[in-house]
Amino acid sequence: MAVATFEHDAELMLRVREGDAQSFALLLAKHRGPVIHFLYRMIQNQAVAEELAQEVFLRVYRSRASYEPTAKFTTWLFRIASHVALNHIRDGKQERNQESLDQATDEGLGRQVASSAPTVEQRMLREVRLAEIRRTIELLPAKQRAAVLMHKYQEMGYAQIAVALECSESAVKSLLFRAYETLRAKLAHMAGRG
Amino acid sequence: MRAGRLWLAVVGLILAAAGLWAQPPERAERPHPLEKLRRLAPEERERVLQNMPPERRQMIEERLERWERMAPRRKKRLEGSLTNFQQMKPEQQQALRKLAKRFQETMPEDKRMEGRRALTMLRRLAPEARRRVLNGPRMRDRFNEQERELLREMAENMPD
Amino acid sequence: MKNTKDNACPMQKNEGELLLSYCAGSLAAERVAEVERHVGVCPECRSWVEGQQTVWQALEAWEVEPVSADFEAALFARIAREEKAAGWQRWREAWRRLLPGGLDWRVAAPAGAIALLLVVGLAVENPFRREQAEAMVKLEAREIEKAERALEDLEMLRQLEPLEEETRL
Repeated sequence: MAVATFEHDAELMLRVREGDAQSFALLLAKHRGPVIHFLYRMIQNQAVAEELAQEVFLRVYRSRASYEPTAKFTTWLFRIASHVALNHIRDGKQERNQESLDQATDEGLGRQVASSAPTVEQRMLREVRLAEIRRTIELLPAKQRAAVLMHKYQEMGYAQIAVALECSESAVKSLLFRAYETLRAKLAHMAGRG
Repeated sequence: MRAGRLWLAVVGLILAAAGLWAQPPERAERPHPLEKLRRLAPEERERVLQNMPPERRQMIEERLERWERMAPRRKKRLEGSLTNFQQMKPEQQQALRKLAKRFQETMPEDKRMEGRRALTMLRRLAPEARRRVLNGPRMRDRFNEQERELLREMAENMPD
Repeated sequence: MKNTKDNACPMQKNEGELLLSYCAGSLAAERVAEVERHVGVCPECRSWVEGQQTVWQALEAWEVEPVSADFEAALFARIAREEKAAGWQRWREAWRRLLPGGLDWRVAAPAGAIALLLVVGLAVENPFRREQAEAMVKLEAREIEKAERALEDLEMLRQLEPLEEETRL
């Protein structure tokens, strides 16, 4: 299955290289969700995440002429996405934190409305819990955060994450070990609260 | 030197004439995309929709047709609701879409019309009165706790 | 108690790779039983696994927002703008290569004016038709999604109204 996907995505990208816009649209439709969600969890601001995702796919499109399927397409894609996210965090941390704080309030409101939990108390508890998870993730150093997000939500292996973050596999293991150690310590009190 | 000035004058005159000639016709106010889609001639609409997946296209056509067949008074009221809805913040819009989906999925079919009537009534009430009505015996008889909570959330979040 | 790398159970060596894979559900089936047997008898690793499972569940609860409906249209518009700019740049470079010494303005000015006149003439030949074509092109991209979204929202609002017309149907 993974091999088939790999070949299919790489094949589509090779078609993009030949000027087939339809293949680019297919790749975009398939990968925009995971990329935007990754960026959103990195930056914690939906509007900024979508803006950065535009940059990611623009870079994919610009690189089409030089594209060579040496790695899995998603690995290459997340390498670009990580690069864009880490640069954004490095360049605009102050602004990001402010936006992130504003949005957390807005989102809290939105989700409170949209929640499927039946009672107000349950909804509020859930909101508090989610806010804590977001804050804990936000406090992780950016590279650890990227590694955890790719490992957890994209189900990427150490080797893939290493390519995406341009570091060694042992460095990835170390990043994940430290990140999960922090998360276990900070989120331990949530045990058994389903 | 004189020849140069002459050329410049000729070019200037030509450009000015072209500018006047090319004056675009007066533009009307930009119509809403939905209105634009509705106004397209059948063959133009066909061209716009032809590359869409068949289910998506069918859905659009059905909805357009239903919209066109709607009684003018109702159409006007819904247009007003849509305008108000579109002025809400994106996250509020999304929240209401989710609530509406929940309403369709969780409210039993035989209760839906009654739920819609209750919603219209609840939307007119102030929050305190709404809470009182929702906790009153008539509403308790008709809707269970989750349904009443859903109605409350919807009444709070629906546009005017 | 927090484990350090030095005093941790051997099962946690190599940055806890084995236990982490177990919690992530990516461990090969034949090793799952081995880890489960060990976790059953080693309180230190059991606590590690429980902690990691708590983290895992917490992260799973983190939902994301849906992607904006016009995301793709906006991207394609950006690509189109870039392509246009790149095309213009290529055109300019081609001319520069063709006429490395530049062109005498006494020839260039009238030639340019005539070319402009021709272009303008063609463009305004039927202004209404041009506007219509533009409207269609725009409708095909970003606006078709907006129209579709508006229809969806109208449908949603319609379904929430109790109306005389409908009850009579």
